[in-house]
Amino acid sequence: MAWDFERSKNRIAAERKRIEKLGVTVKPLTREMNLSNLSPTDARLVSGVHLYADITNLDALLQDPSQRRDEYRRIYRTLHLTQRELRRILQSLFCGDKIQLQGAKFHGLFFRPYDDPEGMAQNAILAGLAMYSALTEAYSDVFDTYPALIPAIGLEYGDTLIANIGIRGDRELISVGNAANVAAKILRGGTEAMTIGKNLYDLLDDDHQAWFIPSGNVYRLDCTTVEDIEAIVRDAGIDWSVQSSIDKFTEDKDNLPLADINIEDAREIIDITRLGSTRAKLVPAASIFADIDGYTALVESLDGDTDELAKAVEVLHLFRYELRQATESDHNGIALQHQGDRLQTLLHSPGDDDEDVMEDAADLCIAYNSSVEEVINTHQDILGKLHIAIGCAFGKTLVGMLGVAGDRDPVCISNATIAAENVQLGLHGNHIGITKAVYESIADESISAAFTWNESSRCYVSKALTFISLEEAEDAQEYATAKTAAYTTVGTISVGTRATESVPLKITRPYSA
Amino acid sequence: MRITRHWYELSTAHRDRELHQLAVLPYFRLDRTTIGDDRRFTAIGTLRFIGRRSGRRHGFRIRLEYPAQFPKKVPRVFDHDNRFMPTLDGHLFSTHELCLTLPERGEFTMGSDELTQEVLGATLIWFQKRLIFDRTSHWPGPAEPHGINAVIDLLVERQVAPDAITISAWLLAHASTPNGHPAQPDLYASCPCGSGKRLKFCHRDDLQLIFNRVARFPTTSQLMDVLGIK
Repeated sequence: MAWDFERSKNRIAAERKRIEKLGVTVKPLTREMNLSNLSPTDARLVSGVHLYADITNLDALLQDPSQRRDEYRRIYRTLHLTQRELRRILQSLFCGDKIQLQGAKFHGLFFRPYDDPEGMAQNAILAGLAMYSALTEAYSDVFDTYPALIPAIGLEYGDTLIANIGIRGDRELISVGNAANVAAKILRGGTEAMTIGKNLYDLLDDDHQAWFIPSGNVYRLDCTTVEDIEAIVRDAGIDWSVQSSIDKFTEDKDNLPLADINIEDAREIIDITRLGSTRAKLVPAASIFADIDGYTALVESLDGDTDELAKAVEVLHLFRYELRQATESDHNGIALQHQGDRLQTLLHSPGDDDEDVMEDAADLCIAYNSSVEEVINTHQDILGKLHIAIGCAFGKTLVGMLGVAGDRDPVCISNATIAAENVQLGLHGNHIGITKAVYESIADESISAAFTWNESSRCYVSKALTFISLEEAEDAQEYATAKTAAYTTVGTISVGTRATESVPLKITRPYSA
Repeated sequence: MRITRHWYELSTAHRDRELHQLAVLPYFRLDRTTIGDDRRFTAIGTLRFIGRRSGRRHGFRIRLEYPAQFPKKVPRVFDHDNRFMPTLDGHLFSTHELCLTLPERGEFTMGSDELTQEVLGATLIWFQKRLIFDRTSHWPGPAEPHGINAVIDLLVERQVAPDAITISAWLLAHASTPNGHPAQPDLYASCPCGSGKRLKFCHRDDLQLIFNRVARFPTTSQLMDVLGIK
């Protein structure tokens, strides 16, 4: 099945009706609440510190011969172990909450102590340091023959919308707001591994501020220069040590021998709910990221107005629902994860040629843009027009599911995933970016003609490409020289060729008095 | 005073045939027909087609106004719901009548039983092109220039003159009175085609098309403005 305007229009209208009937509410998070048991229509406005912890050398690890062998089992186990330890540090030691695991990126939130931003800020910095030490010292101690991890920690304070979209039964939190965006975007590996935003910096006391060096709009910390992270954390009353992380890594490693991890190819479309720490898939697949450009700015502009924010959540649900439907119903793909206002998708097709999968992926990208530009923006405009930026790449991809019971996240790791994300991050809304391999697999000349090479993004990019704009461009080109047209038996207009069993149409030269 | 009888009053069979024609076209759904106070026969219906790639179902409600002399004259087509903005480049008159064709070009087969089918087919194409125009601000495919210039281009196509400037200059010299009003030219003037023959014995019929248009201008200077002559 392929994307269809009428089907998209009908399902979006039905979903909007359903959401409006349920009624979305947004409430500020108070002491009596937490982020558990949130429903999709019950969002929270949370003041807190967002933390992203990323393994920045994941692409190098994917190329490392020792990590590549045995179908990437070691990398998969590394991600399992690291996310478990980061989760432990965040939740058990620092009273934070995990939002999501996005590939190698771990997203957490500190919103306690309530109404004490300074306390949250200090807490978050210490948690970041502990995580840094766990990912470097503790990990290298346990896995001394593996390449070292190069972590990056990003932190920022602010108000964000938190909602649970729990489609698969697992808790699936998403957060939207500038703080989360900044924390994710300021990540930088290497020696200056910790980066914080200005809002968070301003909340720190003089002693902690002194650790950081201004760098543009952010503040960076060379974690290797912080003397005795263990002691600093311990002095704050937190029961953490490098040894405790070593013990945890060792325990988890022993509980998950490499031999227990079953990584196989796929004979049918992957059901990610059946994947776990001991079961993953390695498939040639297209990775797609579709991000709503300007949504965070929209949420920020609403300045905490809960009624307007409720509308913004409705908008998000409409986008989320439609992009998911286009993926799963129209293209038999996997809507892997909603990451805030972004959707990560995987498209694979056991038994098909790679070229067919890539061409289908290009179609899916156009389908996304068609749903947004031709349907949502035209027929369901709630808070003004929003556009999506789409990135797509193809390659062998490891797909799994990591976490604890009831709170697992899909994990998708490959150079293609990294490439697709980078392409998407470099684009504005209403643009589609595809890698060279995907571009070269497109057999449909009209579609490939809509893409041009973009040197700065190092990918092929199309602007405002939808199935409607595509067919109109084709017809416009035909009309330039066409002498004949016909109405076909399936109700379409065929220009320039006279199909059999069709009704001829007269092409005239229109006039204006 | 002699009352002109309308086409449908002259032949019941003709009317029935026309109604059948309107009912069987696959891309047109006839909603209703009416006969107005002025006894004009009008048909209202919806043209439709499906986007080849998008699956989008397009519908366009139109009103066909039949002239009394149908099928010797072409029915006029109107955007019944005023869906589109009237613009010159969008080929829609301010009355919401579609500018389907330059009448002088004779693209429709007058007197034919298929005239309505031709008009509706052309209207469907116009509709699809107009959708493209609304997105791109560019009319797809060939279109006539605006106003009298369309007829001049037609005459150039028919080799009445080598180019539009020659015809414009000829009109200025031969189709204008000394006091600045457009006028019928002297039939014994030399033809602008360059044959050396008198107009009466050369392209008289072709040029008659433009004389009819020239006569609509109150002054020669207004005609010159439209023709772009200073």
